[in-house]
Formats: sequence, C-alpha cells, structure tokens
Amino acid sequence: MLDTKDKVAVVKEQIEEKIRHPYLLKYIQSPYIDEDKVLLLVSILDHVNLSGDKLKNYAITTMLIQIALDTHELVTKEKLDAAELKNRQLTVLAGVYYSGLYYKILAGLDDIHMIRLLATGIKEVNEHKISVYQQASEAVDILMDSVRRIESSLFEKISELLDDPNWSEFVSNLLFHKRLMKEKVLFLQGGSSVVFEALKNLLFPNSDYSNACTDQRHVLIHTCDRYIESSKRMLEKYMSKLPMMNELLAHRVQAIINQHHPAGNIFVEEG
Amino acid sequence: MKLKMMYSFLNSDLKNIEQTLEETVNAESSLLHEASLHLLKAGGKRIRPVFVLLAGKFGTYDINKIKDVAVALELIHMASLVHDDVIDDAELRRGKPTIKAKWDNKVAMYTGDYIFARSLELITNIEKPCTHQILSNTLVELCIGEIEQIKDKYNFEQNIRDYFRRIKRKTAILIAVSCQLGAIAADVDDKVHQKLYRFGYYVGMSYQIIDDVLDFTGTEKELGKPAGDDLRQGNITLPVLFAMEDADIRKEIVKVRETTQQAEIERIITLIKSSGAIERSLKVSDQYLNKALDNLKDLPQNRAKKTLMDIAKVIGKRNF
Repeated sequence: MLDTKDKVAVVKEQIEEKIRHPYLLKYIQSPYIDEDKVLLLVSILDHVNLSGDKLKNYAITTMLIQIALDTHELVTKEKLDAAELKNRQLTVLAGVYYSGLYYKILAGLDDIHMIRLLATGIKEVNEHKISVYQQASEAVDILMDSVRRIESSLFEKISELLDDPNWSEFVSNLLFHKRLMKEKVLFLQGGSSVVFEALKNLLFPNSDYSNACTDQRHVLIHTCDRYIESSKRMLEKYMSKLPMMNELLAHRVQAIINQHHPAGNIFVEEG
Repeated sequence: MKLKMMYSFLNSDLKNIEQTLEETVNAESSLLHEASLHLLKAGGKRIRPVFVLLAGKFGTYDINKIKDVAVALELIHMASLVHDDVIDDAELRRGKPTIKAKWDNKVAMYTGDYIFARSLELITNIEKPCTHQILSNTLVELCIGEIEQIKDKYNFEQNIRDYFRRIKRKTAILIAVSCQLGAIAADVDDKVHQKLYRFGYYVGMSYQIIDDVLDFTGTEKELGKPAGDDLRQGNITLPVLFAMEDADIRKEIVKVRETTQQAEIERIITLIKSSGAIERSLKVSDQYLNKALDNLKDLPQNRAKKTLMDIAKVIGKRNF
C-alpha cells in the first residue's frame, strides 16, 4: 500500500511521461507540475471510494487540464520573429495536445461522467479568466471571486465527489490563497500581475498601472492582503473540520500559510 | 448544382443545429459570448454537421441525439480554427477579422478553450463509450498532425507517405469521424459506420489534395492570399513533391524560404505547372474520390446515400 508521498510521486511521474513529447519539449519549456495540486488531488481522492487506478487517472487527467490551461497562459500577444513565432505556435499546440490527452485517458476508461465534470471545470475557468483579463468585474469582491474560481473550479469538481462541502471550501481557499500570494510577489517585484492590474483598474481607474504612486501601491497591497488573511482564516477553520486530512497535506498547508507576511510587517522591515 | 441545394432536405435540421450552436456558446461573459458568436456568424460550410446528419439517415434518425454530435463536432472545428489563427498569426478568416485580430491572442486562447469545453460538455450527452474513444483519439491525432506540419516545414526530404499521413490527420480524419459518429448515434451496424468512416476519410483526402492544388492554380482574389503561399510558408504538398521528382525543378524549390519574393514564387509555380504535377495530383485526388464512392456501394439506397455521392463529386470538381 502506497503512502501519500509515494502516490504523489507516482502521479507526478506518470504526468511527466504523458506530456513527454520530444519535438514539443525541444522548443517549449517543460510544463510546470504544481506538486501542491497533485498532493491536494491525491488527498481528496483518497477519501473517495475509488480503485487505485481510477484515483491515479483522475489525478492525472485533472493535472493534464491544469497544465494545458497554464500552457495556454504562456501564449503571448506581441509580434514575434520567426524563431519566437515557432515557439508560440508549439505552445498553442502543446496546450491542445495536453487537453486532448485528458479526454483520451478518460474515454479509455469509459468515464463519461468525469469527462463532463472536468469539461465544465474548463468552461468555468475560461469564463472567469476572460472576465479578469477584460477587467470586467464591477467590484473587488467580484474580481476576487473570479480569481478564486480560476484557481479552484477544476479541483472543486474533484472535491464534489466527496459528500462533504468542507473539502470544497478548503480547496477553494487554499488555491485562492496561493494565487494571491503569487500575484503579490509578482507585483512587489515589479512584474506584470493580471490580478493587480484589474484591482488597480477598480480602485484607481484613472491612472496607469505602471505608474502607480506609493500610496496607491500600498492600498493595492493592503487590499490583496485582506483577501489573503481572510482565506488564511478560512483555511484554518476548514482544516479543523477535516480531521481526516493526511499529515503531509496538513503540514504543507501550514507552511503555505506561514509564508505570508502582511504588508504592514514588510513596510516596517523595509522602513 | 450548388452544394447547399444538394442537402436542402436537411434545412430544418441544419437550422436547428445553427440555433443550438448559438445557444451553446452563450457564455456568461459578454466578451466570450461576443467572440464566439463573431466566429459563428462568420459562417462556414457546416460540412461536418451535414456529414453527421446524412450518416445518421442510415440508422434510427433522432435529430435530438444526432444534433449533439453535429454541434459538438462543429464546435471542435471552430475551437481549432480560433487556435489556428493564433498559430498562423492570421488577420482574416472568411474575409472577416479573426478573433485574435479583433481582440488579441489572449482572448483567442480563452475563447478556443471555452468552445472546446462546451463541445465536450455537449458530446457527453452521448452515453456510448465508443463515441468518446473515437473522438478523443481523433482530437489527439489532429493535434499531432498540426505539430508534424510545423516540424515538416521546409523539410524538402519528406516523401509522399509523410504528406498523406499529415493530410489524413489534418483534414480527412475529422470528416471521417463526422460520418462515423453520426451513424453510431443513429445505432447503425458496425459495418455501416465503418464504411461511412472510410467514405469520409477518402473524401477528406481528396478534398485536401484539391485544396493543395488550388494553392498553385488559383488567383490571389480567389484564394484570399497570394498563389503559392503554402509553399512560401514551407508546406510541402503533393504537387510540390511530384514536381521535385525533376532534379532541376527540385533545385529551385528547395531554395524557397518565407522571405522569398512573390515574383520568384510565381516562377516556381510555372515550373510546377509545367512538370505535370498538377494533373498527377488531381489524378490522385480522383482515385481517393472513387474509393470514397466505392464504400457507399453496399449501403442501402436512400436519399442520404445519393447526397453523399453528389457531395463527393462536387468536392472532386470544385474550383473553390
């Protein structure tokens, strides 16, 4: 019987095997496999009454979709020269290829229900991605809900296999928390953050993202921190409601939570 | 007779399909909805849904079941067009701005992925596992075909088998599967849907060869791009492969790059035409067409069969 760590390793290895396409990987960067997401999937599916093979395949197919969507995020907008264009062309096709594999694997298992469930997840993710990208949200709460759903729609489909809404809440808060942390780091490092751009458009609609003044930057960071702290509290709440959670996941979540330092602390340290 | 006239008896079902296509891309996001509709309203021959419906006529024709297959296949085709326009950096499709041109690559990627998801949601209304095994395999093959096409660009060492394998994946397989899945949704015997698959496959091969010939015989106005553009882009098609059998012509062709001037392309087109490569390619296309028609021979006589034969013949004779 494999323990959680071994199961995560097996799933990750099999994903790497599925996405290994020598020609694609010659030109595009090897897809990033988020081990936290694999751990999350394995931990949820461990509580669903499934055979080992099904567990593995559900985790693999969900991750293939995640990788496909992440790969398509890398498709750029600007005009490129011939060599860079080839990279972009293959990035588009790699995403299509990975999502085709999800369908092929589940079709091979005659699992029509799961094909549909995950397709609905893809649909929801893209609905919210375009909303954030278009800066269509009318309020910060709506924007943050879209960010949350971009991160969690797929994984919530898996958690819905359990008859326990606490898992869905836990999943959604964990992935939302991680994403906001990532966006905050991007913003602090001066990079382009689609979430901060949308936030800026909502809070300071008349000024440029790239030229945000110090006061505006503080407001943006504090707003983001509020949601990070709120998701942290929710995570703690739902973790206490899920005593059967495996130790590996519990430790990992604690580590993620502990990574966050609200802006006040940063500014004091910087000051 | 025009293509649309041949299947006019399907008009009410095709209208139903058009309506379902619109309903299916009715996204919550206004931009996603607008972008999807933009593509839908740009038209298209809807040849895949037509093949699905006609194949369905060989079994128990229930439009509500068959419609899901027809709409899903058209959506898959649409999603691939949106992604292809990003791949090709294309500004126009069917004379209208592409999604990536009207908005940008990001919007195109989200729209393509959204349409793909909607197509899978819809096709899962069909509970037959073989439908999904066939379709999923096709989607992966299609994608591999596109990757191979990029890999083979300006590869003048490739042979005719490489070309046939590529156009099978690129074009023929989705037409073949349209016929097969329409028939399966109508509960036909295995033999019948296999014959319809082969019919679609051969028609698709013939169609693509003619498309590749037209790249050299069409005018810029007819093609919507300069003649020989496929060759300039590095796509080595059947007429090129035939023409390269002549060592002198081959020497000229292998020099082609994306930067080659149109005047030089025109000179090479003349060489290709003079080599007899166009006639030989059309002969191969005819052979595929005859194979397609052969596969219909043993099928029951009905209006759908006659229409499939007519469509195949029109495809074989098409100028554009």
